[in-house]
Amino acid sequence: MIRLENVSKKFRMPSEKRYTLFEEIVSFITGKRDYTEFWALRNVNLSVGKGKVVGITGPNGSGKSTLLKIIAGVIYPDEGKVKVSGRVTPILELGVGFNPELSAIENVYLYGVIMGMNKKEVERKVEEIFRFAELEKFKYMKLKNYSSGMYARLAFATAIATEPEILLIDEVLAVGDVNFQGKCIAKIKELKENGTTMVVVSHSVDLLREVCDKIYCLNNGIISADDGN
Amino acid sequence: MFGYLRQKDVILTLTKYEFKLRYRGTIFGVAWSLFAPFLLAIVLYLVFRNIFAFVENFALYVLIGIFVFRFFSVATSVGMHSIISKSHIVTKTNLRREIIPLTTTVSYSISSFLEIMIILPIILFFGVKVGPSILIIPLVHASYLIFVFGMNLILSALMVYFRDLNQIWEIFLNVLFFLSPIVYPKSIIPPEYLSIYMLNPITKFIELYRGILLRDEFYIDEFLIATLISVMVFLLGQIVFARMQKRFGEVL
Repeated sequence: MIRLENVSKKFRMPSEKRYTLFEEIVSFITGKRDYTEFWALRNVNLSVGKGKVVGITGPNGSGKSTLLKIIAGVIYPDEGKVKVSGRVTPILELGVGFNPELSAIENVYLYGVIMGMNKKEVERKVEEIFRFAELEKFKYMKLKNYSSGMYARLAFATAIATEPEILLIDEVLAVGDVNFQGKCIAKIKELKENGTTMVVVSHSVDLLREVCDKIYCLNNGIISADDGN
Repeated sequence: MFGYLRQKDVILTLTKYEFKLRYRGTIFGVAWSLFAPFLLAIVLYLVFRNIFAFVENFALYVLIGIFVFRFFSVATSVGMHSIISKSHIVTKTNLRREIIPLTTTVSYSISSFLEIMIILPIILFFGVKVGPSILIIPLVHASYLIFVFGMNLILSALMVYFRDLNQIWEIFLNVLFFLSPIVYPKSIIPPEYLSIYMLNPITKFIELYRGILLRDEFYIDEFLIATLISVMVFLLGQIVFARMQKRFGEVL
């Protein structure tokens, strides 16, 4: 279950990016703090019940990824309350932690534990992951020799194998060829049947209509229900 | 707050691959990394051996000092970059962030432990009798690990906001090298400064290792003090890290 109450997030955009201690000290002494503030999210209320699938769409820079990151606990809101109960798997990007110098199977272990599985779970699912990704023949190939499509398929198959209670997906369904995209959507529907709560961010409203119970639209940080036009 | 310490599958898997990647494809990988400290030990021994001729087994004295200090200097120099170099894990997954500096610390503590095991035959070769106290080394090393981890929690978090910290740290390490009894005996420190001098926890660890490896002596009270310092540094690191990590997701 996910519940957001009046969540707002403010970003500071420094006019000059300060990264060094020296610059920090200089600006502290001169009292110059030049950044512009920018509200990425304003008073967002969102409630997703257990087993429900919610889609979020909106133009670039409207705050979709920020919202997902707040639910994932990667960034913290400035105002409002966030309540998330259950094991969360955020797929904000595919293949985080993949290392090109390691073999595919080693990367599955690495990525699997980063995404919250324990070693036994990965061991149990490794066959299924490679079967789903259609990469059984390339298990021991170094990841640097993978094509970008193979890479994305392996990453998606591993991430989805975590059996999360809450799954957050940011624009990563459009991986691989048409055939594989179909498999991804089928997998999402299967997880939904099994009671996984999901928040899916996508530009493709058609895709969202296919899998979601409810669709919201974000515009300049303000959320509104999409009533289907 | 400390729940992440129980996620041993992630910690061990990440450590394993970090270790594997560090020595990948190099037969002499470990040998190269040992070349510099050995050379340093030989040079420092040759320079100072007449001045400190009264120190028993001075060559081994210097060698052990250098290898014990090395764990701290190498693990912190690399560890402070751990968060910024794995920024994608921080900004795109919900892995507990403390695990990142932890795996770097653990993998370097294994390296350091192996290094000390490598110098063991040299110690025996020089005719020093190593006794049963050597069995305590893993315990001392574990205490040292806690200290280094605490430092890495602080340094890796600060590094996110202050990218020139590594320059400052490099200078600091150079100073610390000479503020620790590596190339000289502690007895040359004027007694009035000794209490300040002894605040350096590295000194305690160097002396603990030397006691065990050169004299078969284990100073239990020194060990307990060192462990207490380690735990305090770790708790401080945990608090600092927990506060600073809140904005990692935006800054990185």
